[in-house]
Amino acid sequence: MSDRVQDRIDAYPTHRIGGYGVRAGRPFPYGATLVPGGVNFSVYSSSATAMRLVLFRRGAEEPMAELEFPPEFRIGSVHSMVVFGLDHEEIEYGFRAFGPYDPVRGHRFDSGRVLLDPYARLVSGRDRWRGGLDPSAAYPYRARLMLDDFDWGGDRPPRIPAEDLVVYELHVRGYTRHPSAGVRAPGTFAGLREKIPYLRDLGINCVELLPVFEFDEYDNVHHSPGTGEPLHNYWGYNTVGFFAPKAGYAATGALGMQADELKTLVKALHAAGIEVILDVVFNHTAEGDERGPTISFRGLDNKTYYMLTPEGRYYNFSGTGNTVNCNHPTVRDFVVTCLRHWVAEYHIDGFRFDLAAILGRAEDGTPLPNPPLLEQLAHDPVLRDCKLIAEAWDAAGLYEVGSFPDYGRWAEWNGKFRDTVRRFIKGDPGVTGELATRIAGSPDLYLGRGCAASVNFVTSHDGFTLNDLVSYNDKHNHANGEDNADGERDNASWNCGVEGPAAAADVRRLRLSQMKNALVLLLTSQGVPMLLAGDEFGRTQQGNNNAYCQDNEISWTDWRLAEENAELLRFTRHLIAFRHAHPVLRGTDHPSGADTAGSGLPDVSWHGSRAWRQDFAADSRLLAVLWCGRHARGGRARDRHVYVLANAHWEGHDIELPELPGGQRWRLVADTAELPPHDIAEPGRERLPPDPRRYRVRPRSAVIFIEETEKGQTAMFNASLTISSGTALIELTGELDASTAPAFHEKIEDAVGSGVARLELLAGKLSYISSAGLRSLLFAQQKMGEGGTIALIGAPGTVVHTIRMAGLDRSIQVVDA
Amino acid sequence: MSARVSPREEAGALVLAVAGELDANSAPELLAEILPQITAERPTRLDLARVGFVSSAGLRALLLAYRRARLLGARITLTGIQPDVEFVMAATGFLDLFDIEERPPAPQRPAAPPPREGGRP
Repeated sequence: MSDRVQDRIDAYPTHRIGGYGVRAGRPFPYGATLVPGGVNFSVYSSSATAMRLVLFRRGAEEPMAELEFPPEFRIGSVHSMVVFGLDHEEIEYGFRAFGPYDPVRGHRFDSGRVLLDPYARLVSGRDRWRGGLDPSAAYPYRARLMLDDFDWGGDRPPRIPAEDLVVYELHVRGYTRHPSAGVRAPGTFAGLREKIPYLRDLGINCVELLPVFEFDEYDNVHHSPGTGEPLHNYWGYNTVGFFAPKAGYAATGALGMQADELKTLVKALHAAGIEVILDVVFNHTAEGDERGPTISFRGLDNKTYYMLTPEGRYYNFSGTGNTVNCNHPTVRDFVVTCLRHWVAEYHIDGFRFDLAAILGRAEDGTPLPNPPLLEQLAHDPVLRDCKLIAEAWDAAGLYEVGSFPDYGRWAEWNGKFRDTVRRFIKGDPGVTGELATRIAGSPDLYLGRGCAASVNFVTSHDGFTLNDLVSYNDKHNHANGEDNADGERDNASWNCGVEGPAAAADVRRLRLSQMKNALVLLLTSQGVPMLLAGDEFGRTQQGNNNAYCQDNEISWTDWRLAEENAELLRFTRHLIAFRHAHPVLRGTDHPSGADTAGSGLPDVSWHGSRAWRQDFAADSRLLAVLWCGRHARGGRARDRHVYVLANAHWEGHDIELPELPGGQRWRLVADTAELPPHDIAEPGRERLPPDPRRYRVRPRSAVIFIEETEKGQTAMFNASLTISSGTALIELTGELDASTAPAFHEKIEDAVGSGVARLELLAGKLSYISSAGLRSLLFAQQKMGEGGTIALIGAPGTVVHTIRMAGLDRSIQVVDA
Repeated sequence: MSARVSPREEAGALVLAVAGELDANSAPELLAEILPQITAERPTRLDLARVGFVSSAGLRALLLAYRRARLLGARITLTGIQPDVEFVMAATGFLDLFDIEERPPAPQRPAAPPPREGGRP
């Protein structure tokens, strides 16, 4: 840095404080920023009477210096100072704030504590998982300076349309911590990066990470009843540092390189076509209530950051002791700046907001009709392309599923989808009608907001895993040290006859079918499906439905199950691929029930054991839905018709298959009552049912049919490459969209790698091209470079039209067959 | 502790052997010492066999040296990277940014990188 001292005319000290040359700093950005020759420190407090910067040598118990901000260094409520000559890799810093301790007036200053910078970009102290300083130390969590340069290369966030996502919720540590994960760096960002090939094979295109902001895994008062050992805070919904990646999740956290490691993970996921959504917890902090530790906010500006009762106590809408005062202008600014930081610095693609109903409450807790924070996030320029997903409830009874203030931007975790699907598959009466509504993208909740406003799920981290949902009637949370009193009581689960692990083959077979039934409903419904990691191969938490504190085999993904339950894994993979292949399942707008495409079929129709006779009676447990392929994407995409049948009854039924207007036949994609490989067909290998007009649906099963194409077989996307004498030929079949573009990219890479000068794309069988497909063509152009030519041969009119509209025909030769 | 650089010839290539620790303190000196020796005329190898620790700033300095050399049209590669350093470079993505010769075999899953000498236990 010293060679850049000349870069600024103010890069010299004007004062000496505590042995350091300093000068007045700049209030923005908050936190610590490297500037020529020094570091700019800036901290907000509306009521502090004095503020000190406390400097530590890395790891030292005692500070090496305390520098009081002179009054003339304060602008408004912001204290800022540049300190020169610091070794940025070797120091840690905090603040000491002086002010009144007067809880009734909202003040809880404690100058005995060194406070963590709320804007700290790196936090040490818990550098390694379950390692580091004693939490009772005077300053357990320490801010560090960060080199924020990172070589993103050509990183391009995938920007997948929300309705095309298949989200996969996972815990960074738990996913690869088990020895069976077989990775070099278990339980870390680097370890997760090693699992990318698996994620690609599975077909998901978005990972949603449980909290990765710095938190303290020791923050738990309970003990294991078995061993007496203290339990942990494994999930991490107790944020200590909102701008800092969890150091203990990085193999290089002890070296302070967690930011580089997380960025490298994001970059690699993007390269694999996978988006990254972070689960963020802005509703409360790790400071708890009056009895909790003073870490940062409480000591800097308690009154601003927390919702306080008239007596100066903490409102507890989060169920964890305190509630962040989200709609205070300064706190809003904090939240927005934080999210911008994650998007701009870490290229994050979206956020899921924990207990988001709290973000719509006023300072006194009243739900606001027009919450400024939610509006601001919806319209923020940096966050424009981010997915914003609300967990639309809180712990104090505010339940806003379907009514969350959305500003045309916010999606929601659809808890009603979860509850309805669970109740239907276990055989509850009176659910069939509601199930139809959920399958259709919950128009009762989200009409006008689009299908993607509904994030559908059957399981999430919070509750039973899919395997446990079909293996336990009741929760078994004894290991959590609260006499099984914690966790949700009403799980709408059914154990299939035996509580817990079962040896009987019929019970095991039924459970497997039930899991597949849930997956069929999840992955063929309108909206955004979210899977819980490991559910694709039957991960179990041994009946624990609240494993927040279990940093052990209860929570860790056991990869041996991928072999043991290979049948379920194969089923899930094919089902995900089926969803990606069929835009008719991924509508933008809710279906109308009318034929707006002139196809002879309504966009959606409901059926029972007899075609065209829906049966929503209380004792009906059978539902069939016909999605008309000509209405895919509001008629903009062409797809085949899809027919999905779900029978939750304990008896089989003979059903009538609806006749199609053009007389096409149905082919069988999946039947969860069949044994593999007939439980789900390889793409393109769908069989004809024994009788073209009728089908025997067996007890507790789900069946998928697809319209046969003219050539007698269904076609998925395929790209095949042949190279001869300087020309590469790629034959494209099916739909080129976000989900299939990676397969195309691979072929382009191969083609260009062989050094050809001409690339010919045979597109006679390319039925559809999306914007992601157009980007693929741009990608091909870039790869071919100046000298190369690309020809698109024999593409159908709709595809050519799309290409002309995008102006790509100027650089790509469009040739008739 | 600082880092030292000793140059030697090896089959027409310039080998710059670095020894010590690469961090915010030693990195600027290292850069100043390495850069003038690199020319486009002959290939350069940065031999890191005696580098046991590279910090965040150290990795950045290495990458800057590497890229400035490339900018001059010089052929430059890294060699002799120790397993612990390699582990850190792999986890942080730096490994992918260099041309590496004699990539060492991956060590058997160290639980975490070793702590820095004199650092916190």
